[in-house]
Amino acid sequence: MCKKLIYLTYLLILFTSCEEYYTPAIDNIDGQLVVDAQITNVATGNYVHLTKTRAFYAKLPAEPVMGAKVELVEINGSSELGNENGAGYFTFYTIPVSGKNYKLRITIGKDTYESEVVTMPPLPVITNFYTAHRVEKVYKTDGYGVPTAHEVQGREIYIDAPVTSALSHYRFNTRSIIEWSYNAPSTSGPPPPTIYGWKSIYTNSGFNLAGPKKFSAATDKIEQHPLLMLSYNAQEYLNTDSIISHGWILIIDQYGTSTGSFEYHEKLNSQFAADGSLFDPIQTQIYGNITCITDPSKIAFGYFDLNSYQQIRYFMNLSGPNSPVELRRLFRFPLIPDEGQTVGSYPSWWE
Amino acid sequence: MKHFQIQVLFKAFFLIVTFLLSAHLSHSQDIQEIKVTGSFTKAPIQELFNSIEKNYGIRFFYKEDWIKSVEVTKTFTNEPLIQVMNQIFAGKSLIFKFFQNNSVFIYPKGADGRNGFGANESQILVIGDPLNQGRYQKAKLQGRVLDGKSEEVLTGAVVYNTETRLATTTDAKGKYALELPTGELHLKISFLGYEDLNQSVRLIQNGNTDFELFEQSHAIAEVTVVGEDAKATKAQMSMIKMTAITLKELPVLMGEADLIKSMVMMPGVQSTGEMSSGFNVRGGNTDQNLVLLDGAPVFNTTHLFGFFSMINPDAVQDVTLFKGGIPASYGERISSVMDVQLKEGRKENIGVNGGIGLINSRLTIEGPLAKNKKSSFMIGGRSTYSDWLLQQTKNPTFMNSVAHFYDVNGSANIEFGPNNHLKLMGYLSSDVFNLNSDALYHYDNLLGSINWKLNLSKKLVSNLTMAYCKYNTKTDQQDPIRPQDDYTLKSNIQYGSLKYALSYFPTDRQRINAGFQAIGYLIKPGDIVPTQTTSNIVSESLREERSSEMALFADDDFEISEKLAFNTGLRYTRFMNFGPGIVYNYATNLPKSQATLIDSTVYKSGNIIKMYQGFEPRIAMKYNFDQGGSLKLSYQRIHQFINQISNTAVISPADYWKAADQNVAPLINDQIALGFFKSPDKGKFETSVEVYYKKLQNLLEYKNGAQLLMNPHIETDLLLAQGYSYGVELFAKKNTGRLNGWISYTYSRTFRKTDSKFGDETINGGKYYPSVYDKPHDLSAVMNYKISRRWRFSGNFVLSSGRPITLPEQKYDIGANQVVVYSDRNKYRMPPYHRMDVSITFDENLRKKRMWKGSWTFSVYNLYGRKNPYSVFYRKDASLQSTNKEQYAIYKLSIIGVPVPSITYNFKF
Repeated sequence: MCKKLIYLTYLLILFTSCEEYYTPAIDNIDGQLVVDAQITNVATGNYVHLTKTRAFYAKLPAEPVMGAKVELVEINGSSELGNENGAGYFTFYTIPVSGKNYKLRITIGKDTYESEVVTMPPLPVITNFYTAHRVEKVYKTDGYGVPTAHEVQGREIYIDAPVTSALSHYRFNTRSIIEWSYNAPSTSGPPPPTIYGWKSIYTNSGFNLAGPKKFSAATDKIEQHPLLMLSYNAQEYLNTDSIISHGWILIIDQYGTSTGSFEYHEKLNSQFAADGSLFDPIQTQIYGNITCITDPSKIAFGYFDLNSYQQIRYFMNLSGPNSPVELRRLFRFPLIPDEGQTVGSYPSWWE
Repeated sequence: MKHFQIQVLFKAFFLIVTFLLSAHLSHSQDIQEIKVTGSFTKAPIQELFNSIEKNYGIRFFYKEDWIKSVEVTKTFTNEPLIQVMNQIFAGKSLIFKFFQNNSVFIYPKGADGRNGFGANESQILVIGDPLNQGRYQKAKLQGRVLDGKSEEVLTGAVVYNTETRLATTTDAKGKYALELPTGELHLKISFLGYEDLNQSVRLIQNGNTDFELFEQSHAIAEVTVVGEDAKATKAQMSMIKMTAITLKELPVLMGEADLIKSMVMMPGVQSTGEMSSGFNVRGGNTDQNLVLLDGAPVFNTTHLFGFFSMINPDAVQDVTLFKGGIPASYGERISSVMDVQLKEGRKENIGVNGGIGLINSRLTIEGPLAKNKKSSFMIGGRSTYSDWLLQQTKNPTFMNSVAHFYDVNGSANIEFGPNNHLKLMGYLSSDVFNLNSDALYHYDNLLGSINWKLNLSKKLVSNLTMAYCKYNTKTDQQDPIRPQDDYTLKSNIQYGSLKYALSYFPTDRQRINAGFQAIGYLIKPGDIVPTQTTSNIVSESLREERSSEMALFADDDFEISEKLAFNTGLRYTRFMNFGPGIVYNYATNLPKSQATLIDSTVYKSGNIIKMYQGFEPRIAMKYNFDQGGSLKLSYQRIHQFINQISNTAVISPADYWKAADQNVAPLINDQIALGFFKSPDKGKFETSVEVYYKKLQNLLEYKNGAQLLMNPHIETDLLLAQGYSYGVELFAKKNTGRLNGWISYTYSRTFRKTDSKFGDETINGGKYYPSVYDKPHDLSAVMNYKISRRWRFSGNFVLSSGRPITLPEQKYDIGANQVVVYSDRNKYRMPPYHRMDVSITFDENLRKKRMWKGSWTFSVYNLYGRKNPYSVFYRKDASLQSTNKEQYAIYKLSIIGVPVPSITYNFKF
């Protein structure tokens, strides 16, 4: 009887919401300039990428804007003309100096675009790096499409960072590489060599931003800022029981950003995170910090992002909620491919 | 009962035979014309009969048991016997009949309140002194229409005269008034769900009489839409009236009657869709509707994400919605006034109404307050068990959500005398919910009102209303990782009002209203407080806003002739925003922003920060055509001094109210409307066509990316827009018969634009753009069909244009992320909305003596499972990496994309 009642309840489901792709007819609008400018204190990573906006349903990649004159201008100092190394890609050798002011100037035909002036922040710092036990409720859908809730136990990784007048906002990219090994069962003869492998996990839910919290009394530091959570159970990532986990290499890219950059990326996050509720704010256009100074009717999207940067690495091994966590900082920075495996011996960067 | 009837019939037969045998055609005075004089105080009715028998030689026939509990407190001075009898038997369980010229026959009504000899028995009701027969050519007949069993007044009942084809409907107090030629007339009194009463009347002069109607079966209290008066005596137009009678016949989600959702079926009233709170009238925002519950304003009209309105349908006496031509006694909001009157409660006996539904239940008790049956009470409440059901859904968002509410309402109606009436009302509600987030939203309504109505004379009525309202919102932000960052964000608005009006009726054709209203507002736009003892959160409060609104109003409702009537009114309103406070001054030649803040002015407590004032003319006219039908025209101007700050399409718990000040000017609306109204086929049908045009000034819009919460410089994120709306509303309704219902169609548009020389302060380049409530086509059809005495079927169909939306038109990449460029605001439109709902109701028993009366309603909402879009949005979906779905896409969310059946048990005893 009870089951029947439950089935009846399912029949009488109240909130039978349904979300589906929607492909309304959308006008084709002429492409507008997009500036993706990432300038840090690591010159090898500096670039300005000029493209045009595409129609929403366009399948082709963005059309590059070639032949532009792109300058990184130090206010009251020199300027460097970007070198177009690829279609619409411009690189720079200048290493911005902390405390100095810079802007980007782009000339395309008769039009000149300029960014707002941004001060190069000092190098970012992490004062504490630590973990804490956490239980997260997640929903998994069964074969019939019915979601069921279950708990995932793991460690949340936190950082503390200072807030100063020169640097108060940060952005993080995190890559977690799980190291594993596999010993194939021996059928006859000598045992087969051990296979060592690794797999990268990326957080992919928007930009991880940290800054002074609204209404917070803690104005001199950012405390307990969560970077990511990793489950104790490695099988959540490896999908097989016969593989043994050896731990995680955590690669954290920390950017010291301006308040403007922080707010710009917050807006991007809110654009990505809409859930369709009528309580969602009315959609707003995301404008960057670049304007056309010769023709105000022309719009440029994108952002001149001038950040200080550092990378830190840690090794972490999780055994379970009742076991101590092995956590140590790494001072080697080898390149690690996204995913792979070796037979018989582990790679040189292995921890 | 039969035994009594036989006895009575036997006595009647005996008397008739005796009379015939001794017949002498008397030329003496007609028994009905005999003038009676006497004074009785709490006297048994037998005493009155004895007195009349003794003084006038008239014999009364009755059984003592029938009259032993009947008392008389009246003074008669030369009043015709017919009038005396009408007065003492009004509302009693006995009726009388004159026999020849010397006897009066008394007999009881049936147990259900009917005439003991059967319903609709041909009996001529004499109105007036028979001596005055032929003296007047016309006379005014007035009185009330009542439920014969409960004695509750019936609002919206039709009183129709078949000879003249004149008709009227009863008002909120169940009163009617009809001017008719004198002589013998036939009246048909009808009310949906009740059996028609055919009554013959000999109208001699102006007089009063009440009519009692009886339910066709024992349908449980319901709500019906009665539309315009069949031939309204006033020039009022753009008005919708609903009474507590057939809402249950409208199939609604979760099987519960809902006033607002029923209103949305009427022309010119729309909503943004399922789960939308409030309603939109003629393109207006939800905060532009003044919803009054017995005179107290409601600042949030919904429960449970908008699934239910906050008004318990069992407690409602009637509802009037003014879309235009708003009388001068109303102001405050520019789009509409919805005046909800709660029941006063039964005076005769205790009654209970209730319903058990899938996600909520409700119970209402009403009855007499004292033995004298002059005072009554009504108390009711609703509560939900929706949390349990949320857990049963297939949607993780809802599974991880919380939603529950309760409300309690009560009223007491005290009659100090026939002309002295006091009504007290109280209402309390609480809602709690979260939508799969760390924020728990609360909002509470607390309302109270006192209404004292005193008839100073037959021509002068005094009406005093005091109202109080407090609307609180609270958001508990809970961080599961860092409880030290938890905080509570609160805002509230308190409202107090005193309104006094005098109504003067110099003639039957004129009514003059005059009065004043004083309103005080106290708005706390935002307080943030930590919720943990050890917390990183610093308490912060935005400045309280204290303001007052005063109004003087007068209107004159008069008929120049039978064809032409006017209502002219004027309201003068003055709004003042008081200190303490700080007003920020910005550079006049630059866009408002914190960077252009140049100065500030500090005001001490009580100092006037800003004052606005203005006149609000109200004019309405009606012209009746000889061929039937009437043409009506109205103009109104209204100011609105408070706005809801919200950048969502619906009322959100995070919204708060803001008063007009130096930087935010009041909303001003000018509306003109023209309509043609006709009730063909003796009032069986109602039809109307209305056109309107509205001009709107100082609408609030928001800058791109506006920060609304806890913003002490909110004016830097607000834009003032201008706008206009226009539309055509068509309505046709069949009032009677086994098959009845209505169809309405509205074509309307609403646009707005921002006027600013600064690019940052314009939307869509300063061009006109459609408001989010712009839905050009809106068709609603409602049908009720009585299959048999026990079964009835209802269906409704709605079809409307989708609401305007802003869609991504272009995209670009920033690093590995795809970002979109949105179109001009509201450039695109959602797919059309259409839906059909059906319901069937079964009444358990039809025996009228049976105390417990129950009915089952089975309804299906969204019968053919239309996936109506609730919202369209762009999102990056991080969870789809391992699937072949697109990570960045436009999604369409349908809240109710399948047929939703529900079953409700309603009861009454």
